[in-house]
Amino acid sequence: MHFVEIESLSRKYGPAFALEDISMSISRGEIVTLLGPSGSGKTSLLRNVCGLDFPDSGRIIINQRDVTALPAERRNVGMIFQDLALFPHLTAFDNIAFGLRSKRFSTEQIKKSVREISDQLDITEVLERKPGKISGGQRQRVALARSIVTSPDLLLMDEPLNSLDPELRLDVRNEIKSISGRFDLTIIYVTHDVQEGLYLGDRVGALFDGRLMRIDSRKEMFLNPKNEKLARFFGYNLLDYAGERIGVYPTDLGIVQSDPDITGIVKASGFEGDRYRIYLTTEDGVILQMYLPPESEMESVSVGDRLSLGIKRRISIL
Amino acid sequence: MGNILWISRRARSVFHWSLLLAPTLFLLAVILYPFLVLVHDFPFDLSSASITGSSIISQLLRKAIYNSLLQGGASALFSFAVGFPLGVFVGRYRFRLRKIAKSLMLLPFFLPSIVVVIAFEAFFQHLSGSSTQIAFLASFTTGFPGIIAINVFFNAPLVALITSLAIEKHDPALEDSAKTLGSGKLKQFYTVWGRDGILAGTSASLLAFLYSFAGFTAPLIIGGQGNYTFEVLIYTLYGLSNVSLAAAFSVLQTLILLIPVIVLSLSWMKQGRVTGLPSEENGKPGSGKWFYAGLLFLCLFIAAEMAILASLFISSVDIKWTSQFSFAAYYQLFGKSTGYRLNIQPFMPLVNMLFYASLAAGISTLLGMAWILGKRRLRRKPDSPFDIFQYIPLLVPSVVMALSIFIVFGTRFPVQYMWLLIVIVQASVAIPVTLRIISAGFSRIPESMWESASTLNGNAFFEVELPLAGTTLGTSLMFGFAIGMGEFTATNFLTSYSSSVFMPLGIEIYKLQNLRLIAASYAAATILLMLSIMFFTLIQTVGDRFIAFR
Repeated sequence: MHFVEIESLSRKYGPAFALEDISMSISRGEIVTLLGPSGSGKTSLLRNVCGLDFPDSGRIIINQRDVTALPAERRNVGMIFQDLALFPHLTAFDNIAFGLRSKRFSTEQIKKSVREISDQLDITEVLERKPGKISGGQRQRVALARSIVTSPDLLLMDEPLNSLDPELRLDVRNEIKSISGRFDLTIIYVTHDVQEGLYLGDRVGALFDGRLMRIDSRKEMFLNPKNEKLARFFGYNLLDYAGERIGVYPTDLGIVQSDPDITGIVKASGFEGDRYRIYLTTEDGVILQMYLPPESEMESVSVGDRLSLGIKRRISIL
Repeated sequence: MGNILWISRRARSVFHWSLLLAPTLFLLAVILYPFLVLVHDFPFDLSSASITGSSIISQLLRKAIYNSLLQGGASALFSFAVGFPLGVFVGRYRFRLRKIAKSLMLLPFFLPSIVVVIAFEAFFQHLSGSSTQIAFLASFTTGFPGIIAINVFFNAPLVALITSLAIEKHDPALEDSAKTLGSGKLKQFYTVWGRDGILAGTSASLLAFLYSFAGFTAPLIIGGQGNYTFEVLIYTLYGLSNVSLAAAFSVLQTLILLIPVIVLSLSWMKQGRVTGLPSEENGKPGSGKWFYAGLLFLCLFIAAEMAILASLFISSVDIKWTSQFSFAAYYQLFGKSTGYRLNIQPFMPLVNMLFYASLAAGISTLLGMAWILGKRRLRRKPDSPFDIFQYIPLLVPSVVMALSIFIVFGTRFPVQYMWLLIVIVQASVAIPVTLRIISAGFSRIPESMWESASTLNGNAFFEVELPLAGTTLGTSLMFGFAIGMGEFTATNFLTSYSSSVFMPLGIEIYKLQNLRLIAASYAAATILLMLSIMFFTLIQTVGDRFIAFR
């Protein structure tokens, strides 16, 4: 049996399914990222797993305990919310100690545990400050410390990096990856950012319309999404080619001088530093996106030009 | 195991529902149920009192409808005329001492109605007596002009406040956008930055109409029989032992009020969905002719307000304004002979008032806490149609409320417990306000806070939400206290028709006036004024400012 088992979980709000027949298993120490667009049921799934909401049917087993009907406080599941939900009236120390105090740890134990985790996460110097007085990155680490100091069986993270600027986001992303390894954390990480999800997850699940479309290794998932919705979500161009429905990643399209696979008329193009991004329309009216390396001779290309394109790699869409 | 957990979850849900319904059940039990019993037990055929009939009852009915509508309408109109420009000014412009100016502007609305009536009397009588050229000012101490002036003094700050809050909320980028699109200044006002203010000011005027339609203190004390409103008439009819007619007029008044109360509730719910909160930082820097015109108007309003309130204090130490100060009025107020004539120990009205107001504040705030806890745990919307029951106290005006509760419970209560009815009524009157304060304060605490506390095995309400909402609860308690302290209409009814030993300070002022102990009444009114100002200052400095009306 896996460390976390979710079996046929369903939850309806009114007549509509927020979650429909979701099943997945997670091994101890594994990070599973759940990708999907807004409203796909990612947060609903986390809320059901941590006990803030309850499924209409199905089971949740964590560390060999059936927790399906248990309230949040009895599941031993940590959760980091989108807004982090640090208590503004408490210092960073008291925020981290909150769960330990609730579990009636002794004062000495609490001090020791908070100091240890703070050292590990490099937040010792902000322990006496309130959340409003510390930086965004430190707040993330305090939230992380608060959630893992109680040694939860499972840690849930609901798009916790959303509010950060891009540079800090990358730093904290690396930090999560490194901490999860050090503490051997089992994590379900929810995001709609494809790169973030692929980077963090050992395996990646894709949720669409309340259904878990697929869960697989990140590489297999990205390189061979198979499904049209998933391919589109990952950024593939979808088109009909030689009687077949195919997906082509923007980097797998290139300009050729002769014998083109397809042709397209430039609708817009721009230079983004590390690449050119070009939007084209095919004869069938399909809009394609193409990335070309920065050394490409694209400066003379203008809107309305017809380009001959070759396909380097394609995938079949079912 | 699964079943036990399911039952425990259901039990928790039932518990949260009972918390959510606590204030509604309280109001249904202490206001609606007695009102329905009143309607049932004292049937009166109003067909014999048709509006066009010539019987005495018809004439009374006609007069009550006419006076209530006229006073309500005129007061709403003038309150809008005075309050709306004030609200536009303080909402639109940023200037030094803006916060203090807003507080001073709002003060009259916070004062007990009896204090305002007595202050008007003190001010205009002396002013009109000082010169024959301004003798006409005496008309503001009596009859229709006096009632309207007092209603406007009381309600214009409310209109100004609600208007200014709506204007402060507007997004400056929208105005810039309208400018770049070539929109003129007037169009920018009524389509962009002033639009919400106009709607809010209009709904505030409707509130002013409700308060004035059901006006009691001013029509009772200075109105005379020709200006009696429904409320005063019901109070008088009960005094004349005509309970059936009083009950019939109560029903009729409530039916008439039904439409404006529903319109107002719907308008509040709609306005409640506006995003963003007003900020002291919002507003344009003050300059230009419109700014100076507004500033002048605000200064005149505050100056008039200060003069009226100061005159009460002066009259309490120098009743004839001859510069011969003495504390004789205070000695008279707390003297044994006054106590003997009022049939109460000298300091007891003050003690009674503090006791009732404390309990009313505690009850209304506790019910508010239960309600918000239930609402948050059940994830109900901040303003749902279901909450309309909280506005029952607006629908069943104070005298009607007091009459119903007195007839249903008072007649069965041993007289020594009559104070309980006073507390219940004062708490009921405070509930619509305290619940709005609590709702606004708690809405700023994200749900993820208590969810996070739950996952950490903590007590979300006591360890997270209560500490975060400390100032909100403090504000609610202070508002509840102030409302209890200033409640005159129902308290007067209940003390008048039970025992004088339950009399609080506000009612003592009225009784002192009736006994022609004018100096003592000024002294009592000054004490009440000082206490009200003290609580107002506390709310402004410690609590969540003006949060009740967000």
